[in-house]
Amino acid sequence: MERDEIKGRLIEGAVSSLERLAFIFSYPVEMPERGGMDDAVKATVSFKGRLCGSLSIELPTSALPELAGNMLGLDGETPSLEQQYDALGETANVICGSVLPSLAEESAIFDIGVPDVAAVKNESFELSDSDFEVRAYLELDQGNCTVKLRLDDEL
Amino acid sequence: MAINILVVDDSSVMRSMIIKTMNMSGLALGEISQAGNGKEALGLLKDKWVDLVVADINMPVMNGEEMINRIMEDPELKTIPILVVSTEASQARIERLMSKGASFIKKPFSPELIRNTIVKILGIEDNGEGRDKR
Repeated sequence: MERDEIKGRLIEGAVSSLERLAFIFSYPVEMPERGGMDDAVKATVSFKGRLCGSLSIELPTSALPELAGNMLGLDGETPSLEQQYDALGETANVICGSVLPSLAEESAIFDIGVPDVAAVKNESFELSDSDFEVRAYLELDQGNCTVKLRLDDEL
Repeated sequence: MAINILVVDDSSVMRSMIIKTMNMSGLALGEISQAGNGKEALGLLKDKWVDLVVADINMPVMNGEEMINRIMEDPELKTIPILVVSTEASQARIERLMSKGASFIKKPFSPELIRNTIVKILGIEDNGEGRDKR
């Protein structure tokens, strides 16, 4: 499978999951503009099975209250930091569950790990893709989002 | 009769989403219990009678599939209906779960799908009133 095709499926899975899970609308951009970025939080889920690797989503810290608030249906109440991190982890989980079936045959079985969520200094700006890594950039009202798929082996 | 439900998911946000959806569904709900993994859920099931288990698959400590196997092996628990709500990607695994009697909904879910599936599983009348048929 070509890199562009994988990227397309990654974008489709991420845009759809953010919209359906948290009512957050996003659109893909080729490359985010540099500078002025907030600190970010990254959630990573690893997976094993027909394909092995990991999927991560990175959002500006300032975007997390809306993500978690929308998922929880909070009205004007700020979700706790724990809820914000949990919401981002679950988002990564849902995107992973959406993208993997589109990359492998229907019968393939995957074991998806527990999300690992941590604050990062916005590392999205290391823009080069390695051999088995595909990145997609989404623009949200709240800032840029990076979704990264890393595979242990080439498809 | 009100429906007692156990929601099992390692994400507290997802548990809240499921519970909120069920509260809005018009179903006659009784006690809603929560567990963060399969082991915790089995512990709760020793002490509480529930009419439905709503469970994720990918969880730490004990995953949902192992929990379902344990429930099926227990004569006192094996008749409890199970609804799996998961990001599970594999059709083969979904079919395996369904062959054990579980129903399946893929995340992200719509409130209507959750409601309609519970109505179907429990065989309750679609008027917001729970009715125990077991």
